[in-house]
Amino acid sequence: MDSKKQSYPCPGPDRMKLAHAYIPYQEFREAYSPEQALRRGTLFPELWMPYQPGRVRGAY
Amino acid sequence: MATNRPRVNTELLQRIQQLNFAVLETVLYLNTHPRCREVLRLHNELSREYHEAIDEYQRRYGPLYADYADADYPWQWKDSPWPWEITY
Repeated sequence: MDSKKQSYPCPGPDRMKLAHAYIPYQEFREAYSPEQALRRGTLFPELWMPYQPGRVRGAY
Repeated sequence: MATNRPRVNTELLQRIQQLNFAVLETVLYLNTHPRCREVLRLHNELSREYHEAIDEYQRRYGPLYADYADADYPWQWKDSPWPWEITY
């Protein structure tokens, strides 16, 4: 790692933002049964992301 | 405290909880996808089943919600089982 102090561009009209969040648009495919939905915390299979300690982030 | 209450059908209560959650999910989805006919249809189906389940529960065990407009005489809300009195 470079330990030297770096300067980062400030956000401005002509500059890129330091961070830019985005969320892909969800497209409906199928729904869980209400029973399964409550169990899994979502009605949508594509949003079921159980926490698995030790698993690499973003590997779902 | 009164203990001679009818034993609650927890299957029906769990069904209500499941439907309540599923309907909340369709509501959130439709907020961002107002033109999705498929989820709208699902929302209407689940909502209907949800309210039918509530009606059935309230007919059998008394009020599930205190703020319903059709409260019977005498007032029965206080007689409904407390959450901790229900064994799942």
